[in-house]
Order: sequence, then structure tokens, then C-alpha cells
Amino acid sequence: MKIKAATTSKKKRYIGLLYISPWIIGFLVFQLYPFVSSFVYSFTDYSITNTPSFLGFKNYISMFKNDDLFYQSLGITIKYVFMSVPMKLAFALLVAMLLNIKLKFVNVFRTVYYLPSILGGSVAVAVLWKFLFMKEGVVNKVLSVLHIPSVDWLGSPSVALFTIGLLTVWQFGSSMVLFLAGLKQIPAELYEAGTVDGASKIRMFFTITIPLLTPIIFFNLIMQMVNAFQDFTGPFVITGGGPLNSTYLYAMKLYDEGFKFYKMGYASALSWILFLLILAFTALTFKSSQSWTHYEDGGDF
Amino acid sequence: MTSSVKKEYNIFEKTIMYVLLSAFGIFMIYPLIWLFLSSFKPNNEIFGSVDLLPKNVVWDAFYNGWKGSGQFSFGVFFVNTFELVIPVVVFTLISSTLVAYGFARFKFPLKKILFTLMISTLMLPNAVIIIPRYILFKNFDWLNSYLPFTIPALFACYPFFIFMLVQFFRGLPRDLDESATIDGCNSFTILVRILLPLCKPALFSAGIFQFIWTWNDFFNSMIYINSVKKYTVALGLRMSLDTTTAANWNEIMAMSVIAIIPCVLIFFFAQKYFVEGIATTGIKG
Amino acid sequence: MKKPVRLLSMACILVLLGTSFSACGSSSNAPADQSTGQAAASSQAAASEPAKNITMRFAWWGSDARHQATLAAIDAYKQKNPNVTIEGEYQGYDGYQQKLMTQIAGGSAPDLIQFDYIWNQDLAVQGDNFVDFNTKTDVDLTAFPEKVLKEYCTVNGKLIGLPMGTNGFGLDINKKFFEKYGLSVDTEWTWDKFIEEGRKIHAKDKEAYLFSTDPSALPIVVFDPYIRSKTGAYWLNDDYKVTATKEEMIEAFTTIKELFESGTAQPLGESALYNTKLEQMPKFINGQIGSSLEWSGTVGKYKDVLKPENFAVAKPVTVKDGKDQSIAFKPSMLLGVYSKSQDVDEAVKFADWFLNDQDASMILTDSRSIPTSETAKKVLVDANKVDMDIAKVVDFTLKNPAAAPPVALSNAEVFEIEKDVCQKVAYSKITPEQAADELTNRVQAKLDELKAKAK
Repeated sequence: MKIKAATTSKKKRYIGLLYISPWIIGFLVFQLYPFVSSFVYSFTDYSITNTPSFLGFKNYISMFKNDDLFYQSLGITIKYVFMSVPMKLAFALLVAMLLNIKLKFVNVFRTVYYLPSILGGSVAVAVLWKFLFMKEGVVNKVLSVLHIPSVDWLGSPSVALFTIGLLTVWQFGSSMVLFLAGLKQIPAELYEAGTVDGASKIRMFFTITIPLLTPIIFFNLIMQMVNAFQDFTGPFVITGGGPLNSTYLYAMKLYDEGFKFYKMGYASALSWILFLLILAFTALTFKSSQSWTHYEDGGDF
Repeated sequence: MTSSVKKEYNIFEKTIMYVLLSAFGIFMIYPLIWLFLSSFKPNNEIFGSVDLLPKNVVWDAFYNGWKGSGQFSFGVFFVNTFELVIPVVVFTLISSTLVAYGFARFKFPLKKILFTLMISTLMLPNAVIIIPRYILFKNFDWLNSYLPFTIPALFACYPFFIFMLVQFFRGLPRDLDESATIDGCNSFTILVRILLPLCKPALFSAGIFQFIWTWNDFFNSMIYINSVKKYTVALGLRMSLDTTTAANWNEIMAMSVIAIIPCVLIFFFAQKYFVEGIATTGIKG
Repeated sequence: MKKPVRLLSMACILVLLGTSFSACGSSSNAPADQSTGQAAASSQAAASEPAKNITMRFAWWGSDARHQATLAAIDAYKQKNPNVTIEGEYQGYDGYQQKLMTQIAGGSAPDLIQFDYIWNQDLAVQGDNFVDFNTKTDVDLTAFPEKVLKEYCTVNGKLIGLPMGTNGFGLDINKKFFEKYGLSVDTEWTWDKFIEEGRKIHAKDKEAYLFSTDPSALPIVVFDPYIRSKTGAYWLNDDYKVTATKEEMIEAFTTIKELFESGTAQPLGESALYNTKLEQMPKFINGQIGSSLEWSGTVGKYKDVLKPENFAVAKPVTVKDGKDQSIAFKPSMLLGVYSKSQDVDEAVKFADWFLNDQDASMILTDSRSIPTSETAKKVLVDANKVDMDIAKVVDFTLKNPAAAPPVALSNAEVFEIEKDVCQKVAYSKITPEQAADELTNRVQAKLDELKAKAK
């Protein structure tokens, strides 16, 4: 067996590269140039209509020294990520578990729960969210029926970020779909064996379902986190960053610097700081995953 | 035999589940209902009142909305969007599967670095790379076409799907590969005949996601497409929104509803590929 | 058994590759490419030669009404000039500026470009992106008021755009609201009186507000005009200096503070949600807002939502005994020709026709506000095709138009600082004294930066 493994693995070494070659070509042709460009821009005063001149580290220094909104938006973004991502994943997993059961009309339910994600990019969502959460909106009306005092969901600096976070949590559909796909991949025999051994449903959930689902949990966690750090559609179309910059997410500041103030050099510098931040969090998550993620392929990567 | 949890739930438990699902489901479907009913309201009712039902019904929003601003109808926009989305989805699936297979099942030099590089391309916001990308595509002479979308898809420029499929592949035991090799299969056949059938849920998820995300893409489409006759539905929906003039919102709502129908249908009918799970993992004993 | 599967898959991939590259050939025939071949021909002025076929790209933003009017005008031009095809690249306002900038960065902007004069500095200062109309003979510049051309359309001596329409500034009024609270539509308001009445009204009805403004309008409709009205000059000047004194600023900020504290103005937290979209705000639609200070260009959408019989316009609010009673004015948008266009002369010709020709004017009507060109305007006014409220606002504005604001005032970063400070005052986060200090310090620092860059 060992000899066979040795010879096949040698061939396999370069076959692997062959399989990923489309990505390598794609990366070199389509992604390398834009990435390097933006990195270079970050050291210049590029403002789109000018010929950029080299500034050294000026952009980065002024970001840390002169820009109050830099720290504010960074703080707001981290809050946003740590609030919305866990909630989103929790709902996604919960609903996926429910929809994995053989109920009648489960097809309809699944589609209904995925609808917000389909509507996601729609022009109507901005109108709708305001409509629901404004002072005299639907949500407050419902609360008043339940004798709960109204909340200024979008007008109060302390609540607005939460309301914007709700928008992304509401669109948990994609995570849910992936959990469903992951649940489907768990062989039924395992549950049968478990039942035969007398394990309770809850026990099987923790000993069979969750461990086998960890690759997907891990994937969803990374992806949702990476996306949440770069998110700004919500504030962009609903609150405009307000009230009092309480929903001014980092990616929105970046966009403003690049496309409103024409300071593309500075915006690029901001983006690379964000890149480092996301990379750090992702690396941490990858490292931690070694202890809680279980792969059927033996954990060999 | 499916992998859905084969637990016996009694009527009581099932009813609770139905109630819970329906209650929360209302939050999910309410927007669509509101959207649909808004297509029958005049502007001041859409924004002025919280009632769902229109008081002064407007009947021609769908017809007028479809006609668009006159030069090109939404029919043109729909055809364009399919022309854009279908190749992108097909190419993405093919290329991402091949690349994911490479990462998931093989060892090769620089693998960890390349994998990290691939994931890290997701971490830079679009806003700062759009201008160099635009210049790149201009130099290829691909502007005002769908090539800036389809060709990168062919070359696996969507790390989300690569990473996703890697995770799913890694959820399949290597014994499968090994017993297939013993039977004389080469790597490609293992992929196509053994692993892919087991990954159907993942493939369909990837396809659905890419379909819906490309279908809804606004910013990139706006930047790369100039001619109105090549506009996609996402562009068409926003082309009448100006800050100084009132738009006919009932028409925009009507078209928004029509626009999501293909996405909803695709999801609804592709679901069975989630439901029909894997018969067995293929390993006996 | 395995070979056919592999071959089939390979074949599929090749076919797909093949179709995508053949599509490459057909779909990259963007209209702009066709004009490249005609470049040499079009620059030869020979009128006796049969005219070569020219295709130009014209980009504008707007709503359906403007799209339809513009397309109709383009059609009419084609009737007169069968060899000239103009392709419209039109969309809504969102993303237009971003796209234009990207196109300019890539060197592939359309031949004819509609743009806002606020973008002048960024579009035209560095990089020679627009054709200088002063150097072209095919356009009748005398039809436009020289003041407008000089103050809003010229950068570094180059006339980079022609004004398409004129915006006046006024108070948009909900007639029913005014009647309900016993106010006369023709009142000429001062801020003191405005706040006094607003306070009374809000005391009577907690949900009613005499006035509404949003965070991006607050600086433009309250702060800037207040200082200008009181002192006779803008709060900063063309030499990158903040010129308003601390006292003057404190007075302006105090007015803002009182506007909100007295209940005259709707709380900013509510109106912020409807930034530039007041017509979508339920309180406005349901008649709980009395008035708003607006450019004349937006009259249409408010009139539509309130219904014409409930709508009226009046002169804007001024400072009592202020040195300057002039009214803010600006071109609604400019039309420029891209310097890298392959058909500059044809584009200039079209621009001239589009803005000055009487037939064009009759087709376009007031889709871009009242035309700035006198010839175009006269035709519409005579034919009564201008909305009477828009006409009223533009009329009283043009009788006493304000001087053009200094260039630095349209800088996006300066505006953000101003917006931020005004917001803080409106939310009672800082006092007017603190606001005056903060505004002066932050803006002066920014102006120093800009001045250094401008050297």
C-alpha cells in the first residue's frame, strides 16, 4: 500500500496544479493587475483625473493621525460584524434544521425563507425598510398593539446600527441553503445507527449533525464575516451613514473617499487596511477551526 | 432513502413547527406582498400609508412598466439578463469545480500559499479595484459587452464558489477516491463519476447563488455596460430614478416583482436537488 | 467507458470557449468603435462632400420624462441630419457620477456628457477632459447669459460646459397646511418670523412641522444663505479663507438650533431617512409638513405628490435687515463635449442645436428645468409650456440672483465638514459657539490643504 501511495502521490502533485490552472490564469490575467494597481495607488495622491504623484506613506499616516471618522467607522464596522454575523448564522442553522424535516409544503416554506436574499438587491428594499422602521412605520404600529413603547429604529444614533444589522440578518437565505445542502450530505445510516444505539434526538444533534456540519459552519462563518466587513448597501440606501455617522460603515467611508471626494489614493490605502484586518480575523478563524472543524477526508489539506 | 432526519414527529410537534415557520415566514414574505400590492397603488399611497391594500387602484403599472422609457422594453432587458447570467453560471460551475477539486484532493507545491491567495482576493472591496479593472477590460476591448463577466467566470474568478466546493469535497471520505483508483479510474473520472454526484446539493446551491447574484448585480453592470439596448433588468429597474423628478413607483414595483420571478422559480424547482440526497456514501460495511 | 465521458466534457468546454470568443467579436462592436473609422472623414470640413456616417454617444441622467423628451429630440435631429446617429446612454441619478469618473479614468467617456457644475473642479482641473467651447465657432454662445458661462461653466479660462437649464430657489408650500394654520402663501419670511410661527404651529399639533429639511440640505438651504443674507458674502472666499466671523457663525448656528428646538423643523432623525426624497415621506404626503426650501427643479415631484391645487411657491426665507436679499441660483446641469471624442465638431454642432434651437426646445420643454439659453426659453414661455410654479421661482430668482459661490464651497470634503457640524447642532450635540469654532478650524485646515494642491 505504501509504495502505491508514494508513486501515485508524485503524479498527483502536478495533476493538482493542472486542476487549479484555470484559477491561476484567471488570477494572473484578471486579478493581479487590479490588486497591484490599488496597492500602488495607496501610496499616491491619485484622484482619477490626475497623473498620480508618489506620496510615500502619507495616506496611511494621515489616516491614523488626522481622520477621526476612520476610527469611528472602524469601530462601528466591528460592532456590526460581531452583531450581525452570529445572529445570521444562528437563524440560518435553526431554520435549516426545521426545513430539513419532512413537512408538507416544506418546498414553499424554503422558498419563502429564501425570498429576502433574492430581493436583496432590489430598489424596493430601501423603500420597504424605511417603511417598516420609521417612527410611524409598521413595526412600531405592531409594537403599540402589544403595548410596547415605540422605538426610533432609524432616527436614533444608538439604535440605527442595529436596525441596519437586521437587514443583513433578514437575508440569511444563502447561509440557510448551504446548511441545508450540508445537512443533506450527512448519511442517514449514521442516524439509524444512532437510534439503534438508543441515542436521543438531542444527543444525535450534537454528536452527529454538528460535527459533520462543521465544514459548512466554518465556510459560512468565514464568508459572512468577510462580506460583513465590506458591507455598505444598507446604510448607503437607507440612512446615508447617519444619524450622526452612527451607521457609517467602513466600506461606505471608503466608497465616499474614492467616489465622492475623488481621493482614490486615500481610498486605496483605507482598503488595504481593511484587507489586513479581514485577513487577520480570517486567519484567526482558520487557526481555530483546526480544533473544532471535522473533515471526512481526514483533515489532510 | 434520503438524508433528511428520519425522526418521527408527532402531530403536536409538527403543528408547533408549522406555527413557528408560518409566523416567521410572514416576516419573509411580507415584503413581497407589499411589493406586489404597491404595483397597484399611486405614488402617494405607496409612501403615504401603511395599509397594504390600495385605495385607488392603478391597473396599468405592469403594462406601462414593461414598456419602460419607450426605447427598449423590459422584454429586451430580460433577454439580455439571461444572455449574461446563463453563461456566467455555467462557466462558474465548471471552473470552480475543477479548481476546488484540485485544492481539496491533491497536494502540490505552494498549495497553502495559493489557497490563501485565492481566499484573500475576496478581501479587497470592489470600489478600489473597479477602475483598474475597467482599464483592463477597456484594453481587451470588452467594454459594453458581457465579456467582463463571462470570461472571468470561465477562469474561476469567484473564490466564494471555489472555497464552498472545497468544503463540500472535504466532507467526502478519501476512501471513495481510493477504491475508485483501485478500480482503475483516473482523477477526472473520480471527480465526474464519484464525487460530483455526491455533491449535487452543493452544485445546485452554487448555481442558484451565482444566478441570483449575477441577476441582481447593479454596480458592475452599470460600469461596464453603456448601451441601453444591452441593459440588464437590474439596470432597467433603476434607470428612471432621479432626485428631481417623481418616478412612477408603481411601475418600478411591478417590474421588481416580475424581475424576481425567474429567481424564485429557479429556486423553487431546483429544491428537489437538495431534497434528493445521497442514497449511500458508497462504502459498504 | 471512461474515455467518452472525458472526451465529451472536454468537447463541451471547448465549445463553450469557442462560442464565448466568437461572441467576443460580435459584442465588442460598441457604437463608439464605429466612429473611429470615420474620424478622419468627419474632421474634413468640406460641405460639398456627401456627409459620412457618424455615431456619437450622449450620456445623461434623469427620469422617464426626461429620457423620452431627449430621445425625441435626438430623433428630430436625425431627421435633419440623417448621417448622424446618436446613441443615448441614459440612466437614473444613482451611480452616474461614479460611472463618468470611471470612464474618464479609462479614457472612454461618451462624446456628449451631461454633468453637474459642482463636479467641475474634479472633472476638469487636472487633465484636459472637455472641449473648450470658446474655441468653437459652431455654437452660439451669445444665447447664454455671460455671467452664467463665466461663473459656473468655466474652469481655468476654458468653457467646459453649456448650461442646460436654470434653477431658482424658493419655498415650496403645502397650501392646505398654510390655510389650516392661518398663514398667507405670499408672506416674505425672515428666520425670526418663521421660527415664531413654527413654534406656535408645533405647540398646537405635535405632529405638524412648518418646515422640513434633511442633513444634506441643511447647510445649503439654511446655513449658507443665512450668512450670505446677513453679511453680503459667502462664509468662505475664493482665496481659500474662511471669512465669516465667529459671531456671524454663532448667529447662524443658533438659528439652526432654534429651528429644531422650537419644533419649526421636523427632527433631523426623521427627515434624514428621506434625504433628497421628501416626496416619499409619509408626513409630507399626508400634509403634516408646511414647507421646504428647494431648488426650482424639484417642484415637479412635490407638486405631483401633493396635487397641484395644494401646492404653491414663495420667496425663500431671509435674514431680517440682512445686507443681501439676493436669491440663490445655479444652472441645473451642464452639457460638455469629451475632448477625446472622435467627432468633436459634430458633437459641438449637436450641443448647439440641442440647447438653442427652437424646435429642440419645444420637444424638450422643461425636462431639464427652464432652459438657460434665451432663445430656447423664449419659445417655451411664449408657448406657455413651462410649469407656472417653476417659472415663478426662476422669475423672482433672476430678478435678483445671488453671486456664484466660491469654488471651494462645492468641494465635497468641505461640504461634508459643514454637513457634519450642522447635524451636530441640529441634534443638540454641540452648542452654536462650539460649532462656530469647529467649523472654522476644520474647514480652514481643509482649505489650506486644497490651496496647497491648487498651486
